Amino acid sequence: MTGLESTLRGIVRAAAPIVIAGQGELLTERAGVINLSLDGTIMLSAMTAHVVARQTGSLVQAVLAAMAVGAVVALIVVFSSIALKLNQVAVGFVLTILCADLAVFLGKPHFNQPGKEMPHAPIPFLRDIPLLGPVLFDHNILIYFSLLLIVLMWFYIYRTRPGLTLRSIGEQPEAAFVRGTPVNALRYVYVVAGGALVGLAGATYSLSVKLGWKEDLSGEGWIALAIVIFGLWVPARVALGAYLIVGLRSIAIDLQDNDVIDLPSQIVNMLPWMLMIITLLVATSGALTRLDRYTPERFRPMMRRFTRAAPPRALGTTFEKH
Amino acid sequence: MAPTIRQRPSSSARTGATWRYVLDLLPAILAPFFGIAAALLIIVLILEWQGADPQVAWDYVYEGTLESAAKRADLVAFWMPLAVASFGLVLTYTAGLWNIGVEGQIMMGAIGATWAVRLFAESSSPPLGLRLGRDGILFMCFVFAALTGALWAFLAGVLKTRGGVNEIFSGVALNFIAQTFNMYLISNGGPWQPPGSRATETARFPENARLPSFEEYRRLSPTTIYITIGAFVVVALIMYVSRWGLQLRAQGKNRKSAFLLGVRTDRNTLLAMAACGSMAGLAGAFRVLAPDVTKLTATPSGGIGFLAILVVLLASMSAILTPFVSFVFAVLSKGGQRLESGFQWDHDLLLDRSLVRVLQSTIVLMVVLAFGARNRFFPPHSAQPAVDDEDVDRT
Repeated sequence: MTGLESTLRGIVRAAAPIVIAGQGELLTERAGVINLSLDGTIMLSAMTAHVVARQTGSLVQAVLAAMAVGAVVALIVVFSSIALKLNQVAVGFVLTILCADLAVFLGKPHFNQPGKEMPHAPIPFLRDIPLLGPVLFDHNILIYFSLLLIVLMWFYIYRTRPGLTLRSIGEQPEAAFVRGTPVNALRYVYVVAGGALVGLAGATYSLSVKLGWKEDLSGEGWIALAIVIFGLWVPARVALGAYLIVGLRSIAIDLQDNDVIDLPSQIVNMLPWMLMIITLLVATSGALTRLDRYTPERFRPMMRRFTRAAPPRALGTTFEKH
Repeated sequence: MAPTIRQRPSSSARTGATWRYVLDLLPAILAPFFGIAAALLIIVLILEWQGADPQVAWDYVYEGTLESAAKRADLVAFWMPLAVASFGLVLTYTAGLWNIGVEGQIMMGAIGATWAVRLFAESSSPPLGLRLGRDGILFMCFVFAALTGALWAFLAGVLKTRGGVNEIFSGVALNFIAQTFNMYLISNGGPWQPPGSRATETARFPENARLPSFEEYRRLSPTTIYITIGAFVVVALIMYVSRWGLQLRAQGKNRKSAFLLGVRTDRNTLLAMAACGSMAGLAGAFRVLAPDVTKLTATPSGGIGFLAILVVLLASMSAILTPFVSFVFAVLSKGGQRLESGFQWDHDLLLDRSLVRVLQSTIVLMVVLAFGARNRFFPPHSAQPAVDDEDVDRT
């Protein structure tokens, strides 16, 4: 395996949880709801997966338990938003803190204990393709799922009728309601499904990417939330953002061992967060639309398609039948 | 469900109005009560499940915080930075600004205070040749802390007003950047780590850069109490007397309408963020200058930033309630340490102190949910119909 292959393979692997959580949040936000609890949910579900895997020995149960945790947290968010008309950001933030603290408290006896790992499952034949093989087809099932999920999400949102309905309840819930769509019921479904994906992301950490439970997952959920904005609510771009951030992080780790460039490791650690601010700045400040002016006439439609930045119009609002 | 516009009650209907007022008051009082009861119930269940007696747990919390005068002094020493950070947050949250970056602002304040100590107390050639006495040095510490904290908050504010970056995300990123910067300064041969030391902290501050403390209670400084009271008065004046407080409220309720009515929302955003940041910075200074600390450590904030956010959410941004709520949270936080050690030593039971943090966030969640339930199932009779953007000029 060449250096490039192993670097890319590492990025695909390490980015898998952020990709899954990002797609989960994408689903949630496309339905018009913000679930801000990602950071805590990932910690709690990662801890849950680790503990369940240790105690039952079953990886399937561990993954299901983690997904259930994510789904329950998401259910609280969507219930308090739709039924109780509460501020989604407030509830989500409190849940983030609550889940993180709960994870620390409940996970204490299992802290730093050896954990079970998802079995490595390289795909025969495909793994022998040069470059692509080791990068994409030499992982475990959770990593494969993260790759598959990007395609599934794109197909579901843009190529199916339920996907069209999903977009409509996030953009124009009133219009969707007039056409007979049960807006609030569907929001429950999508937010809970998105939460389950976030829980799966937690399981991906503790069962594969950062084996075991070490309390050092704080921050990952916030990155996942940020890349949804960076990715402008489009599955492939959200995934791209995840690979970009994780790629940068792995470069940062490599730089620390580099003797030629002597950067203090902490300065390097800041880079992903600075990148997060800069990418959000680029995505939201209108710099992209200004770029339009300098694009040759011929490429403008393509450019616009790529840089079109608009959150789901009904994001964060509650829908009421009048 | 269409909003119904109720007629103003005539004088003959006044008894009805009074009755309705009482009917409204009841759920409003009961909602937080039920919320807190639900949270306590959850914690009692967790304690029972872990095999701990809730009564014993409370005894430990009481013993660790309120029982003796010395414990109460320690409690106040913890309460002051939490309270001052919460006062700052009242301003931003009233203006609808989710200043999650407060944690980083506290850290920057701690760094700023340490910087002032290095400049004015430890350096042999202080800037401008200023040879300050103890009071002067401490004054510079607080000024530096307030300025660095304000700068960090201002940065998030500018990113919001100029760049459209949501303050939640810039806040989270700036928190991590501040923390990494702090680690850079004090670890692995960083510029502020004493030569030859391997501990991730600065050297202890010199004698003339330590806060004066009470005669009997060495860990509590009266200076922090005075500054906190001062901050409370300022915030209370802003919120209840000044026009600016009214503008912040309007902006928090509906930013667009406030802007259309002539409120300079962007300027207010920057000012509110900077004001909050300076108070968070002071909290950071309290933490590093505390008589039992007097050094910059790896975790100068100790998580009081997020705790302060919970305080403000629970106090629903009321400046008057904030001191009380922050006091209760300080009791829980401080009591958590005794809770953990008590159960470990006397009962051989591993009960992590993070349990009290679970309790704190559960209380906030349950009270928020209870208020939601109250608005949903017992809507206040006197509630005004929702004001749409078109109707703004009527108000």
